[in-house]
Amino acid sequence: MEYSEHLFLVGGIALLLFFFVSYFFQRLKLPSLLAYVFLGIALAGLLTESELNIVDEISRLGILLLFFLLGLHFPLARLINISRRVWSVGVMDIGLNFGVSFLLAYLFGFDLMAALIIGGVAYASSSSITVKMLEESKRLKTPEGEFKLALLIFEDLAAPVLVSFLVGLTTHGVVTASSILIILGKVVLLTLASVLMALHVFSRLDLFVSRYMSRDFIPLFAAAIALIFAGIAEALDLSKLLGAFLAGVVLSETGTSKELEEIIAPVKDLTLPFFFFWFGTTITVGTGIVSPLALAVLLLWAVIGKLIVGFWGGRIYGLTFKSSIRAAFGLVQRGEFSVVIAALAKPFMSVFLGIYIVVTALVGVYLFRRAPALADRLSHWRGR
Amino acid sequence: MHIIIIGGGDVGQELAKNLFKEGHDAVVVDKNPERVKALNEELDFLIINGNGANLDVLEKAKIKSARMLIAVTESDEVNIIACMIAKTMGVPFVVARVRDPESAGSIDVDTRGLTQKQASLDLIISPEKAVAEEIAKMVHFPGAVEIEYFANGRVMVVAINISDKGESTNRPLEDLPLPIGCIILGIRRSEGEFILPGGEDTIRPGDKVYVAGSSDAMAEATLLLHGEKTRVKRVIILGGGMIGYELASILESSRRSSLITKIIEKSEERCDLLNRKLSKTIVLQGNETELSFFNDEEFAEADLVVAVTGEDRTNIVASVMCQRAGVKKIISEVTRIDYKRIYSALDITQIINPHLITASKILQHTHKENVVSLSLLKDEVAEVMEVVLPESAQVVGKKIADAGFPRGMLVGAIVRDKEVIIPHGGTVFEANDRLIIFALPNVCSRREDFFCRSDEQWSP
Repeated sequence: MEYSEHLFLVGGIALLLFFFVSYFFQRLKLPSLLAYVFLGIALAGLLTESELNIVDEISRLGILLLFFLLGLHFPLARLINISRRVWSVGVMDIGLNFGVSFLLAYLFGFDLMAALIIGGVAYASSSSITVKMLEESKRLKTPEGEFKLALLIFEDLAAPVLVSFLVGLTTHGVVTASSILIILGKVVLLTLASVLMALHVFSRLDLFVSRYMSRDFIPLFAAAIALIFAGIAEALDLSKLLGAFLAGVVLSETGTSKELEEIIAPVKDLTLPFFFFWFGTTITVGTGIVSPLALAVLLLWAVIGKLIVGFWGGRIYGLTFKSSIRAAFGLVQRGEFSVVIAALAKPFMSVFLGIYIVVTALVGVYLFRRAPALADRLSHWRGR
Repeated sequence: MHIIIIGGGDVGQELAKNLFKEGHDAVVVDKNPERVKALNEELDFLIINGNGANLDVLEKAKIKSARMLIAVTESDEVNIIACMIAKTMGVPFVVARVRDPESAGSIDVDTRGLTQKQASLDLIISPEKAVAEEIAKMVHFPGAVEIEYFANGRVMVVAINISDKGESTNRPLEDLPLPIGCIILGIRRSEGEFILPGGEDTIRPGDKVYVAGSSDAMAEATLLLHGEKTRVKRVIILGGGMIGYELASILESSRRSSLITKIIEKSEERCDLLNRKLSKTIVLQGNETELSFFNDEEFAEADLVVAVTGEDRTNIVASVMCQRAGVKKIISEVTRIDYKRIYSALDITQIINPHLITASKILQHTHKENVVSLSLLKDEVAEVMEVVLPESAQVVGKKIADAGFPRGMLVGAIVRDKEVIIPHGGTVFEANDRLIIFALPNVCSRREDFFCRSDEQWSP
């Protein structure tokens, strides 16, 4: 265990680097998550396997807490409210981004398996990048912010099903109807169990939590709930982010979301940079792309597909024209989920997929920042 | 009948004025000496300065001979306690205005606590809920500016503003192709005069026309008079207070689920609460400033905006912004009735006053038993009343033309065995008919002569 001697030193240097790059990026008015990603790409070769493992562990905690905090803002009634309006958009998202990307890849001559993986990589927008960007740009509470979150939650529900589908294909070469049904059943089970707990257990804990809010054991309680839910979700082969999110939902029934958020947020701020850093280290940059033309077309579709879902879906969801435009330009970034799927691909495709992910992430972040201005311009143009 | 009113605020004053008109004997109790002084100059009733929940004060107000006590102070607790005392002292009918539904129970107010009977209240009025119900009617019937339902929803009386777009203007009424089952009761001219029209009168742009008729025919009549069909799909509620919340819940539970309802509320805590309680409405959090209500982007696509921020001035400014953004219909809450003039100056016609609605709901209970419901029209030009005709009423068996109604009283519709009849001079009254009567203020007090039993006591 070579790292154990210098653990604090390495950790300290990492945090210091995070501090510097984040500071400079913010001075340049760029999103700080990009700083961490670039740092990750740059330092990927310098870190040992075991150090990377530690980064991975911390990064999981960070992303988990991000989703836990998000869940705190979605009490059950609100969750039911948005799911009622978002499911049709979610289905459209699967069709356009998974379905069409898969078809395009297949037409470009990739074999069935590779095309399915490309579809999977193209499907989900990055929850972490989107939420972090919404937070940084203070757009979390806008109408389109809610819509984007709703869609991301839908993707987080659908993604594990997709992953298990693809894992089944890559390891056994076949997918049985029963394995898909089992994973669907687990999603339903976890959600139902959370709903029941929220209604019958946590809604009665409001007095307890608010009474002891300032005591030192409440953070333990909140973090324990978050980790346990995420752990259970992971044990069921579901998205741990979904688990953490549900933990937030359940705790929000105590009516103390704001205070809990204040307690947990600092821990998230310490650990979340590791997630984006880790994301950077996973991206394989290199030469020898399999098919540049296919990559270009797929990248183009990666943007267009999400634009359509964002705009059209936004209108279905009930957003105004301008809001829908802003939503459309805020969904292009792909991220952690695509990385998970890309890991299933054969080695010759990793550069191809790596470039796909990093380009969509960068373009996504750029479009995200430009979204309000673009929306203004487009609605002005439409007005004329 | 001797009636005690606790609370001389807007509602109390409105009640007192109307009760005076109807010839009742009322006492007003208010704890604010300055207001008592002002009321003394304005009203011809006894005004007592004191706490309405105090036994001595109530005795001074002659509670033992009172037939009814109406408690409408700002405080729920005072209202409930005053009613409880009154009940113990043998007052037959007590009414409390209760803002917070958790304070006391009622049939139509959501409650988990005491039942209405346990709290010994005969009637609980929740102003916010009443206002929300009123607005919900307008949302569902956007062509009209005022809507009242009678006879379990079979008959409607609506007020329609006449634009210059309709084909109905400048034609004698007798030539107007009104659908069968509708009648024009009255016309309020833009200059303020109110007429009960004859066949040769015409409607002019800017008039407000009152129409009665069966609910089925009313949509067609509204279209004819209003001239354009207003389709409501996107509703924005400004302000997530009690009224906004109640309205959103009513709209959520209505069968017309195609509505997209959004609430814009500035307080984060309130938004959290609304998100917790509402399941179809989109809750948008504005920033902490007043300006958050003026969301151009949302206004630009809204079909209907309801301004119920609880702040008259904010409502006015928001209404103006909506008007400029081209919102087809704006409904605004006005708590200070003086501001009404500003709205007319700005050409915003759809305003709603919580005090007037509360008063009107309470007044329904100050009438004789067979009066099923009574509504004050908004400009207070007339009252619309629903009565069930008792066998002993003097008009039973007579033709309308022979009944000798004074000028200013009109029977708009008769519901007989579930059938809606638009009466003419030859229609004969039968016992148990439900009549929808339209009456100008000067004849209001005389309608009991025609439609009630001669021996009847005041209800209750």
